[in-house]
Amino acid sequence: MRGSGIRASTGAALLGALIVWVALLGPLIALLAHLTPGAVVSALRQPGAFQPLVVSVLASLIALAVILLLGTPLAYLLARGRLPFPRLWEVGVILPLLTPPLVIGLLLIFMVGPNTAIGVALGHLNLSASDTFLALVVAEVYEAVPYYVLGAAAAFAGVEPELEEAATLLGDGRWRTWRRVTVPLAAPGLATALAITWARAMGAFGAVLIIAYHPFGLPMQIWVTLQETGLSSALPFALVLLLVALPLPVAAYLWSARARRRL
Amino acid sequence: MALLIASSVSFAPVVVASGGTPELANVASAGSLQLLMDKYLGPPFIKQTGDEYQNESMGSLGLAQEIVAGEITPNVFIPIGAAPMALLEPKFTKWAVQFAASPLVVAYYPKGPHAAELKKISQGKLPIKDLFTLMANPGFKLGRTDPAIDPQGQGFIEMVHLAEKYLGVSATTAAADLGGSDSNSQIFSETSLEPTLQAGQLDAASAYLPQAVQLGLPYVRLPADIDFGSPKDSAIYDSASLTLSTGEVVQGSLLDLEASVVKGNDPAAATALVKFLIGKTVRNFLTKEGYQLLPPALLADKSAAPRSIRDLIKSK
Amino acid sequence: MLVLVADFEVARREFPVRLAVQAEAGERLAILGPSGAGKTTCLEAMAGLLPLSAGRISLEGRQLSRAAEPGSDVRAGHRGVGLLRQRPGLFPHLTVLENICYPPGASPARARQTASRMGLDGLLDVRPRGLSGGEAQRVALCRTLQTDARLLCLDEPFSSLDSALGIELLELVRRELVEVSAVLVTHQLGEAQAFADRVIVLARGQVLQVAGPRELVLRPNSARVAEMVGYRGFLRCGSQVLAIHPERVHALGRQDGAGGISARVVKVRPEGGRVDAEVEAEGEWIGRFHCRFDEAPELGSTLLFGAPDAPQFSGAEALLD
Repeated sequence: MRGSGIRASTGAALLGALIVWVALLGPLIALLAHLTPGAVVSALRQPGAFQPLVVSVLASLIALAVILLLGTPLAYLLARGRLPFPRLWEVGVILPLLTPPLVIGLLLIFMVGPNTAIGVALGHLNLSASDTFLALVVAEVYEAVPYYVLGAAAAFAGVEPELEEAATLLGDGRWRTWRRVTVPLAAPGLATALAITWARAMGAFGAVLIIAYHPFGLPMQIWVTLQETGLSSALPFALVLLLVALPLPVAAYLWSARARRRL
Repeated sequence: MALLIASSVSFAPVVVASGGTPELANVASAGSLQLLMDKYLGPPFIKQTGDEYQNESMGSLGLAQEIVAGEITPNVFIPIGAAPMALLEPKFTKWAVQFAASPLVVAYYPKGPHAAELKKISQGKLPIKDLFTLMANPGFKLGRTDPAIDPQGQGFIEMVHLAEKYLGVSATTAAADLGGSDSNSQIFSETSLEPTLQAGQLDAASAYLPQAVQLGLPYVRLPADIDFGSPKDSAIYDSASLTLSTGEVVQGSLLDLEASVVKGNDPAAATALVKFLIGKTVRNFLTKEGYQLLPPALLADKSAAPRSIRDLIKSK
Repeated sequence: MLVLVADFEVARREFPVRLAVQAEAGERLAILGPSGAGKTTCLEAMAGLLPLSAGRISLEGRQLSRAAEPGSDVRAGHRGVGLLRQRPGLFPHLTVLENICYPPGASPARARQTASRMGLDGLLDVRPRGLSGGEAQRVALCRTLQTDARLLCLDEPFSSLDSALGIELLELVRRELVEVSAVLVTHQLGEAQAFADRVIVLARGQVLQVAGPRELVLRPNSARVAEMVGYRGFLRCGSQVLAIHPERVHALGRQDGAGGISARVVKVRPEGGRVDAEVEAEGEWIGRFHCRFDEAPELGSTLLFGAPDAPQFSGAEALLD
């Protein structure tokens, strides 16, 4: 009696999981069904077709570097509870996550627009954070950084403090402990956090639409092409976006899973 | 200007159902018409006809593409400009009724450093040509929409070219107005252009007159022969052209509001909505909101329009 | 030659912990006390993990910590003090050999030698999760030894292991630390006695007594210490309190007589091939003894016991709290 009950609930869970998985892949399957290799090739043969790809990848790499540099110390301090008023810091990190990207974009106008204090300061350096490559990086950073900080904080929290203490007692300074103990042990979690962050940065659209219409990354290219010449010419760029954005996260996930097993 | 004169097949005449089961008027309209549709047209329409109403507002060209691709299935289409409507002919519709125009203006930030001068220009105390000289200043931050996908974006560029011809603006000034080599940094999405101006991060931006009125922004009115809002200057508008990045050449044209019933469901409700659109209630609102009223006129294959609409227009 | 000179106080939430101790090279100390007494705090202060609120600590003439100048305290890990905790803290992403070689001054050759002496030969390429508790602590010990620590602090490192294994490992530690002084923290008297040359009894942050392992049991200096080293019966004799240790009491027979303690038999129970009997005097349980079946006393009968060296306390020393 009990045995069949357990089997039934496991079966139901599996079925549910399968349905969700297929539903999630649905759009991808629809995309592949609607594209012919010919359409993809001809779309990519258009003059300037590779420019958005280059822009997207470059901007996302820079955004990722900025996020890594600024987000890692914050994530570590959050994880170790070494910040005063920790709840306040957590809320600050989660707020951009809860704000629709469109709203983030609108608010960024007030923060880095040409006539704001920051905008004017940038202007003195001959830079601008409105409708420029810098603006694109800023928009991507804002859309993606909470994912990294939260993921990295969880990864660091999973490293037991007693291991860091052991390293200290064995003579390691802060930096060596960080390099030889904390980071290697947090690495699987950091890898998955980076993977998600990369995907978010590559696909950023809402805030980008508002403050960084130009230069075109792939998401903007898809949006404009759709309105300009229609669905069939926009979809190939969607495929390119997936093909370019996917390898890094997939590789990170596989590596992370293997690394976790070894620990 | 791509008005197609369609050939043979006429639209099947529609019998307007009265007092029957409520139908749905499913509207796709230009982005700048959102307020008009949802506030001033929808509720009275529902009240008067008992039909149901639904509206989606987005860039006209983009909407046209989506209709053609079958992604959305509205039964009424109200774009700005002839080009979006032309995309739907002949498969989705063969006619359109033109009922108003939406002239271009230059809206400006009232607290900006150039606001005082712009105000004087708008009051006529300074010549209109000064507007273009002012906009050509390297420190002047102008914003406009994407000509690749927005009629307003196309219209603005053509307007500047017309200003060269008819206002004596020099070619260098015109080029500087449009941003010169860094023209891309002037281009904003429709969604963000007005908010950026309102936040004071731009000195001025292209706009439709009704847009500026609705948002409460001060604006500089342009002469009728270059503002794409006056039907009798259509020939002048025609003479301006623009080559898009795809290589396509577009001719300037009146920024008119057109409406048509799109082939699809609930044609009775759709026809009723178009009739309501050219009726008195809406025309009063149009005037109030700054639209330029035009006598309703049928375009393209007039005989393809439903009889009730043809009769209504004739009677005006 | 004195190696460790420490006289310090550490502020803790409930009460300050005070310790004054000196040790010579190779000397072994134990800090014995109930949990919460502050034993770990003492070790952490010596290892440099806690600042002092008073006093100082110096090792081999080098000042490690000073309350007056906390900024000049030598950093943990650079003091020549090693600390072994209850959980070995091995790095899971490194093999046993890599763990042992972790400290900056370690050399693989020396590491292998130490590992060999600890019986870890076949495990050098294993990851920590493949080790048993005892093996893991041995690896942790090897690792700490690579730092050339002059003082080794052991914070109940074997208390989670089987007690026989624990004692065995303590023996191993004794053998390895020839020239190195060591301080073991434990709440078990047996461990302290097996390991240490001197035992420091600590309760509520105060040192109660410092004595050799035997002397501590023979001559506790107060009723509190007596209770911690196993005295179970406390009998009032006028203004004095007599402490009775169940393993140091013997039967004198069934007669009443001077100099003995009369006690009632309260439990008689066969256990295997003999009888277990428990006795109480004045309501205080004072002991248990064995006898043969035919010698078993009756339940409720009175016997006479002698506790010739039972310590006596008076006044403040007689208090148990």
